[in-house]
Amino acid sequence: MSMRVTEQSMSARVRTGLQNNQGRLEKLREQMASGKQVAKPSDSPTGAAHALRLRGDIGAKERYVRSATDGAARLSTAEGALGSASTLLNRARDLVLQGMSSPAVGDPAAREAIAGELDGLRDALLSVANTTYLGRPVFGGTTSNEAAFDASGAYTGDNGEVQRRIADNVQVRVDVSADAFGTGASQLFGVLDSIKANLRTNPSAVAADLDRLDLGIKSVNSELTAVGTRYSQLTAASDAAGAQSAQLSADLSEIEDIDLMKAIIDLQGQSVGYEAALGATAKIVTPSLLDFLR
Amino acid sequence: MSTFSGLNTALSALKAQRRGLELTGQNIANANTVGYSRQRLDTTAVGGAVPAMWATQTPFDGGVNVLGTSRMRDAYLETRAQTEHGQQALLTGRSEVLFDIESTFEEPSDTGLQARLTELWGGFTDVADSPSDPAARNQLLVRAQIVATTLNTMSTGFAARYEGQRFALNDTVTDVNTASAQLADLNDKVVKGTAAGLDVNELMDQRDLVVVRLAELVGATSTRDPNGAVNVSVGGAALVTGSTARTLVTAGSATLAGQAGDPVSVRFADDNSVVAGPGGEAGALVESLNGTLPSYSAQMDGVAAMLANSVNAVQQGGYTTSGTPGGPLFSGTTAGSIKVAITNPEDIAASSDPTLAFDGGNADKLAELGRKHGGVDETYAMVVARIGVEANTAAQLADTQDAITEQVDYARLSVAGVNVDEELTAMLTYQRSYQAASRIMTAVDEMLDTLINRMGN
Repeated sequence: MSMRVTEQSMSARVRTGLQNNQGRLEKLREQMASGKQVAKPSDSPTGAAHALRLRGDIGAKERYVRSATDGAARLSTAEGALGSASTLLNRARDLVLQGMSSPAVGDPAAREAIAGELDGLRDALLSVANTTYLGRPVFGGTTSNEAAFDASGAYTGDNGEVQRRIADNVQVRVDVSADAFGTGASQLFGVLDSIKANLRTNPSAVAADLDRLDLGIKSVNSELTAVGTRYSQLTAASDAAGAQSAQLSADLSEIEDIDLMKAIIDLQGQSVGYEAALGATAKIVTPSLLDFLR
Repeated sequence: MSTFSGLNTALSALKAQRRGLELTGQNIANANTVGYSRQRLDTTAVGGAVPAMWATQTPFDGGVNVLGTSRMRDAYLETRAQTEHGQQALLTGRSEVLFDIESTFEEPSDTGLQARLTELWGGFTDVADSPSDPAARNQLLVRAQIVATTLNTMSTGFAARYEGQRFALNDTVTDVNTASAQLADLNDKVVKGTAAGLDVNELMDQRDLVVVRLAELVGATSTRDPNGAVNVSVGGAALVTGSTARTLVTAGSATLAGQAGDPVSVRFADDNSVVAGPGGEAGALVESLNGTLPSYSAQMDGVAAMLANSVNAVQQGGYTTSGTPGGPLFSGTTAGSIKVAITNPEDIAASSDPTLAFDGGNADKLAELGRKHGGVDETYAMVVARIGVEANTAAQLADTQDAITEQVDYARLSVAGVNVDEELTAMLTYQRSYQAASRIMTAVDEMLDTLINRMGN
């Protein structure tokens, strides 16, 4: 038996059809307006969970980029300081050699002049060793003091290390130990003090001081190389994390955001469909036998 | 056979056709009345009586007899409609409840808990990178505060939704009571009217509407009594029997906090027995109040507890700037009660060594909590995925049920609905039959005129 068509069943069907049509149109409009295809978890449960994880990952990569950039800046300050120290020490070595050879070796006044110049170099070296980054001495470990070395050249920092996390499970040391300026008997400030005193009073002992000075210079130079290596490690990590973050952001956009071109075409198609449905309904619903009875 | 029986036959025809025309008018008038069933005139031809014994004449006394009007309605489709409408109300209610809960999560977005947590871990990294910077420490405390507030807001959201749905359950049960009282009243009128031989079609239409409404409200099922009454039961217990209706009440905690100790139920007022497995709108609300809402609230409490415990454990393993072991950063272990316990930024245990004031090792460990497998972020993402799946599934089920219900409704409307073309055709038929009956009357009249007036002149 074919189904009887009644006014109410017909209007109910038409209403449902139009409503579904309008519902789809509304959904597309909402997506266009928000630019998101996953606006709530139920829009795509797996997509939403994935989006949450991606956001967490992007946050972590951005942290790594920030830490690595900051660490690199800190290291480059230390690198600059070590470079200056190296220059100063080479100048000091020249002066010491000058003081050990004639004519200065036999001339107390000339040695006094050299000792005076070394005094200036020592002060310059001290100031270099007390270089700060954002108010913290770069050679002072994690100290809360303002300077890493006091006026006498004694170390006032601590043995803490400053680390920066630049990737999951990767930490890089971004400070430089005060050991770079020599330890114990070959600590550079002590060595320079000893050279000054010996130049003035006991020129024959300067040769031993020179050996210790050379040890110090070697220590500074080798630290300079290590810092350079770590610096390039940091910049590489920062670039890598930045690239990963960009890739993850693209993935996130892929999940959450609408494809604008596709959305516009869908919306157009749906609008045309809706208008056609409205037009057809207007034509279908009106006629009845009433229109044809006299 | 009487001389005038022809006139009587024509008269009965005139009466019947007029009645038919009136009924057509009634059908057209109610073409758009919700719940109206089209009516049909039941007539039977008079005559064909068994001849009396020894009778010599044919006892012909013709005409048409109107037996009454009948309602065009399919009892099977009506029962199906009740079931499907009840199921639709339950599934739609379930889906609405889940969408409502889902909206408390505000995910995925740049303002949801996930984004706030990511900021918090970033704050720890900043402190790890510059432990001596008071600005980084202050910023961390603010971010921790925002995470705690976001959790508090979600907890408040769950509590408010619980209270809202609890009120909605009260309203629904009030509606059920109104509808069952109405049904009992209509049953009474229908039974009495039928006994008195009155036309009760319109009352029965109203009654069918009320029965479907009861199915939607509480998942009631109906049976038809031989005397014409419709009895309705819910969860296997009678709700309306003939002209008596039982009253329902709600019981259980008014707040989410008290729900565990005092679950929500719908009960019969007279013997305080629980309605077993209510369906429809009430069923969806009871399910949510006793199951869905407490469950998601507890899951978020779990997330809050995990956050507080994991952060506090690491924080307590580190040292403040003054070298003392760190105290808990968060107090409270539920989404509603979690708070930041530290007010002094110096108390953040960033250092991993009591002798190193400006070490950042422990802050780095805190930041790493955000990357931990099975940590707070992952647990939270799982809760969000779960609500997403549940809401999505519920919406799909509700959509499918919508389509089924619509099909049944179309079928019902197809049987019970008025078709104007049909009625117009009937109208023409009755009109023409009326004209024809009038012609019969005129013809008989003329015939008698010939017999009475023209004869014997």
